[in-house]
Amino acid sequence: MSEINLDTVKHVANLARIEIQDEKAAEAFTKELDKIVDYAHLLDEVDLGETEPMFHALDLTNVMRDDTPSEPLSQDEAMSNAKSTKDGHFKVPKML
Amino acid sequence: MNIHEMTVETLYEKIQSKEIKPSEVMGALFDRIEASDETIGSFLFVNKEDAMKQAEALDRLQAEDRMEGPLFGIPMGIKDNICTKDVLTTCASRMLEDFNPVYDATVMEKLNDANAVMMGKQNMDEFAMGGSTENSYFKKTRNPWDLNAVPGGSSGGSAAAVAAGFVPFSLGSDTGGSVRQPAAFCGVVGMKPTYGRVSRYGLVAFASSLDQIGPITRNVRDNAKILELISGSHTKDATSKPGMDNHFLDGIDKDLSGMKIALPKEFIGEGISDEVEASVRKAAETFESLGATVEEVSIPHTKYVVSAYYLIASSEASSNLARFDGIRYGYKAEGTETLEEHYKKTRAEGFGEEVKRRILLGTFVLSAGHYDQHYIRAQKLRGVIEREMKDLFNEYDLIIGPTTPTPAYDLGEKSDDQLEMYKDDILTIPANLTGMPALSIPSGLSASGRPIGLQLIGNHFDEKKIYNAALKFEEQFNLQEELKSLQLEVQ
Repeated sequence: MSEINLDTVKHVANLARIEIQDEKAAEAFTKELDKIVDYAHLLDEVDLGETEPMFHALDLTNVMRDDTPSEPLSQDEAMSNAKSTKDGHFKVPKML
Repeated sequence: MNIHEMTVETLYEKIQSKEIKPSEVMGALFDRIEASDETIGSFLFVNKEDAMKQAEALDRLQAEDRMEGPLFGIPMGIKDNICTKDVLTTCASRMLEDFNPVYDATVMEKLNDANAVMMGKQNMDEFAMGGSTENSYFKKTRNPWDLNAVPGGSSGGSAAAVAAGFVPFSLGSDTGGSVRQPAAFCGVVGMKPTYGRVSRYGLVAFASSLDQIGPITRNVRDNAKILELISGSHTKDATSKPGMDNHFLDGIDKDLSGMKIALPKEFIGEGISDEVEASVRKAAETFESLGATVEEVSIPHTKYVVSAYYLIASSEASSNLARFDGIRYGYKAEGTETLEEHYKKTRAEGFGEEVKRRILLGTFVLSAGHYDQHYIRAQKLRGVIEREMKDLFNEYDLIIGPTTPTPAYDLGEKSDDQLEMYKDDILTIPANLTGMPALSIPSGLSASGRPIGLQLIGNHFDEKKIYNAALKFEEQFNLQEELKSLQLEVQ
């Protein structure tokens, strides 16, 4: 049975903070994602019970560096690409 | 020989011997770009003014015999997802249309220190998501071998520019084949190094456990040379591995007797075109004639790698691309009332369809109720593939196969069917999932005159062996003459 329906897509889009323009766009995403997830179910036929997941290709752990101070970006540099600033801060629309 | 036909090594020698000036090199290549890149579409931004200024400064150093740096006066092109300080870095996305990084990527620091000169930023699929460069927000790129064909992707602009003779080398990035596949389609040489070989600091992240930056060049020696120069760990990328030997040119010329090469039957099985299979079989014979042995082997779980990859890569992308909030940098939607509305409109308007699709897929995979079933199982499959490939490396030096199931297809041919395009990545994905190094070199031409790529995969940090085998192969087969005679104009 299909896992992806219109409601799933709307739910996921909300989680990802992406507005979907209209119903037609939502339907198109549903169809495309359904096809891809359906294909991913190919994995179901593999017995992976005993296998450990491999999250990373390198087995590096606890990479340390010396705790020496260095020059950070200036405030001006850090904000140079922002579209909306005020008094040296990022300015955003109201949160609530 | 024309300047645009010269390799990195040749240009270097001619500049060192004062036969040509850096500004002459740069001028000739900009002329070529101006004459033909309207057709090819490989550059998003041409850095002419700055590059010419730098070249003239290098001219003066040349005159004073102060030619320092292993790439003194060598031009380069850079994929537009690698941060270049004060130079637009758009990821071919509306989201970053006017983004000027305030720092250089590690690889840029290294290449600038080597005295290479950046000629411009190159087209790609938006945020490196795609295999044809048709997902660029700005423009399409054509394949210099056949203007009706895609250049491949996502580093399509970089591969096309190298093939077209606009730059002697480029850097691309490879998450599921994005350096190797366009290199194969454009008849050039492209390397995806071992995960951790090259610092990713300053590479706009797509899937952090898979991404690597790699060189695209016209021959194997240049590729080894550039990788030497960009390799090395960096404190700002904790996944770059310190203390590795990065000398790939030493012994690159060794003969191949005794080398054991594996050819997995799954790499030449179902879905692989006859021409591509024939080219790989011929390459296997070439290796045998060079003293290596080639044996057919099996990587039984190959057919599952595409599923696993798209689940993992999209999951990581959905997390990485959460940073694009329209606040600190990037596109910002106008006229929104609340912060939530601001996020949603900014991301709806700033991202293209394929990027949204992958963010939605990744968010779905990581969401409650689907994580164990999809994400964890995909990571387990990754472990299975690694074990199967590691087992082969206990017995063999290299694994070979095609880079792509078919040669380049026509523009527009596959752009409506994402899944079909995803499936084409089956041969390049294993190296990303396992972190192993893999190189694509030309191994033939199709009946319609489009290049075919051969892939050489090595064990972790075994790039040297790959380059050695690739160089000896290249001495037997290459497309150097064909590259020189490419017609870049619409007839």
